[in-house]
Amino acid sequence: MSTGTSATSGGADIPSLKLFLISIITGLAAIYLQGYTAAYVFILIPLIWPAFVSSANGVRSLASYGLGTGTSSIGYWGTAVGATTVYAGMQMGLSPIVEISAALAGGAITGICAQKIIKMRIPVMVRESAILAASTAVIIRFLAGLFPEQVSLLFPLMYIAVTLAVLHPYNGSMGAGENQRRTLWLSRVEASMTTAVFGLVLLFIFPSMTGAGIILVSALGFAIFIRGWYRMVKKEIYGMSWTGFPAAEH
Amino acid sequence: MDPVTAMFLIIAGGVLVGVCVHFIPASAVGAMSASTGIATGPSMLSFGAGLSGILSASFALDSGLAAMLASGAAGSTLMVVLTILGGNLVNAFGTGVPPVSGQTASGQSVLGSSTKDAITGWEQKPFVTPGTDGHGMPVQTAISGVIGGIIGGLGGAMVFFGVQFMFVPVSQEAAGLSGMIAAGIFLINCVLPAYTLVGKTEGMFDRKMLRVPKTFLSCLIVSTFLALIIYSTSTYASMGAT
Amino acid sequence: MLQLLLLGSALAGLLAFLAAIFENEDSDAGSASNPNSQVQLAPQIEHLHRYYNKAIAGEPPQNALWAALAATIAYILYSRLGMDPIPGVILGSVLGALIASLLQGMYGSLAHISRIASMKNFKQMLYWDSLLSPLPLSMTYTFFSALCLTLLSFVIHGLLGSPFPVPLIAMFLGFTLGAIASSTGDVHYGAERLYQHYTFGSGIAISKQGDIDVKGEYGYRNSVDTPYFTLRFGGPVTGLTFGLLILIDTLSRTSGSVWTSVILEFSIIALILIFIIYLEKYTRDRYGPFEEGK
Repeated sequence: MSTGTSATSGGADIPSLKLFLISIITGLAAIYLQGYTAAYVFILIPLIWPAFVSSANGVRSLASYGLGTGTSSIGYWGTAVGATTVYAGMQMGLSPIVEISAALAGGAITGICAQKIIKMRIPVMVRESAILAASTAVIIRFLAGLFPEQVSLLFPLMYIAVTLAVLHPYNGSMGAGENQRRTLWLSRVEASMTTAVFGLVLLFIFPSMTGAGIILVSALGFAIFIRGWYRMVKKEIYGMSWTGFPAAEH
Repeated sequence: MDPVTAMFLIIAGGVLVGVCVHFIPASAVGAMSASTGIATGPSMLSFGAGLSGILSASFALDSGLAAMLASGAAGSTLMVVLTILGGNLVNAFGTGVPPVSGQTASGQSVLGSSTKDAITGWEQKPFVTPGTDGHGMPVQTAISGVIGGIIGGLGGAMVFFGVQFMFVPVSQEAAGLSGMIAAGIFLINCVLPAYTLVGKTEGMFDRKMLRVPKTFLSCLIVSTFLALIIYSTSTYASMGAT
Repeated sequence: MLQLLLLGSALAGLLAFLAAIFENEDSDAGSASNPNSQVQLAPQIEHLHRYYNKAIAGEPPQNALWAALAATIAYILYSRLGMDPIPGVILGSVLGALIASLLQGMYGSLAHISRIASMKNFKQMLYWDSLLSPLPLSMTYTFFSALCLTLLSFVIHGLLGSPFPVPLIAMFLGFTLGAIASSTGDVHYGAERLYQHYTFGSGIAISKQGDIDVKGEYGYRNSVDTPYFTLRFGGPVTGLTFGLLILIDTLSRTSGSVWTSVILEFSIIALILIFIIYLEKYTRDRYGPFEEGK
């Protein structure tokens, strides 16, 4: 892991497998603890943020190869695999582990097709597709568990909000000076934004402490993460000013 | 109809979705009038067309399979043809270029060395801005887009019908849920061809049309996997219910 | 029944037309979607700019999020408040669209700052005013487009009788509208507005890409100036495309029979194809072959 001394290059990347393992452990813990915490479910919100980071990292590893299709396509494709398996699995009350493994298999199969049949020649294709699909499945499974009823009404919003949170960190920081550390900080910021949105929706469905708690926890996370992200931005940006003209052509 | 037929319907629909992406002309550089095709990514455009097809098909939910397929095809085709019209209008009056096929002009399409439009017989070569790969959607790509719209709409409606058929017994909100899942399957299948097309296609006269077998096989594998999940889900759920 | 369907189709067509115009202007005010690659490329060839570089995602997913969020909140509020349908739906939609536009503002500014930070090697500065002046404009357009799409979804669900729930219709329409807007209206921005210093009547050669206009009518160009230009042509054409799609689709269904509507739609498709052929013939005759230096 990088120690934070290097500026633009960001040091060695955190391996995506490590991020994925963390996300799957905390994510599964969060999903299984949902049943016990009842109204205090908001304390589990921080446990789901690693899954956002892991999927954003999956998008980053895939899209940085230049796939011939937009970053957004990767993001919404990965989330579609995760979301479709979870939505189908929830109908029969499958165990979350089965759903997530199905998503993992779905991502891997698509990756193998892309690698072997279409011949993409991207070394990380299979691994990252599987990670992306499984991490988004973890997120969607957790979010779906937050709502006791009317949950199928929220499926479209869950799908598309998670898609944006997953693809935006890399899409938003794309450029020559992009690096993993800043992208992942942005992904944390957006993870907290997304959970806050679902807290708000929960608050509208049941005006209770739970929804308010989710918003509060997310806001705390947002305050911490946006500082971390802004520190990185200030360190890496060429310059900031309130107003002015570009020097080169003026 | 039994659940196994519905499962095969999902698989066939998924494959059709994959094939339709090859027919709908799309290219992201089209936004700078620098390339032939509708100015957005192939998967995005096909997904937009497919969703308007599924939405149209949902109105025919109680009229049987044939009516649903026809309605889905009509909805998707309408979206594609109107987008071609809008894109050509902007190219004609906003940018001031006539629609022209770049690949045909350079004699590299599946038509061989002919530089004429396959349907109207209009010469393409002198109308291309030098340094670009054509602009707008000439008649041959428009026709190809219509065919793609029909295929995509059929595929989307097939997937929707199959999922809907399996979810009616197990869920109270079957329509909404199967609409969402059909959209997901559509999406997964239309990103795979985008890998094959590398972001740009001119439709059925493009040389990339020769790569359809790859798309076909990949979409077949992926749709089979997804259809099996949905099939086992609905079977176990209805077993639990009885 | 027929009257209700006709009213629904008319409302749907109107709302779709408005939603598409606003959506297109939102993407142009933030240089989103495909022309974004040009704004992104410009600093690399020493065209430092003051554009708002809102790279949230491709247009379809981002637009689907605003529509789905607004519609979900609107539907929940409408069913919870227990008000009369019309005031309930409108109040819910306004609140939903407001929240969606706030989220858009957050995503947009995070994207702009991050993208500029990734341009250190090309000496691109972050000018706060070039972010903060188009931001409210772009958020306003998002508000209107999310509002229109939410109301449109309620019309399609309630008046026209689609079996899908409102949020799902909103997501579908958001995706479709995003695909349409990024392929019609954006051409006017990407091929004409960003390249106004090139002669009208040519595509932008690959070698010229990134060589965008950074100066405006006076001084440096800001993204606020963009809708001023694209609203004159690109926006209305997007509106025409999406408005016609919804209007034809809903009107053809007023007969009540599925097959009549399918036959009607396919005959309209044939008519549009004939119009496309005439349009191509007209442009070819009018503009003639490309001549260098003209």
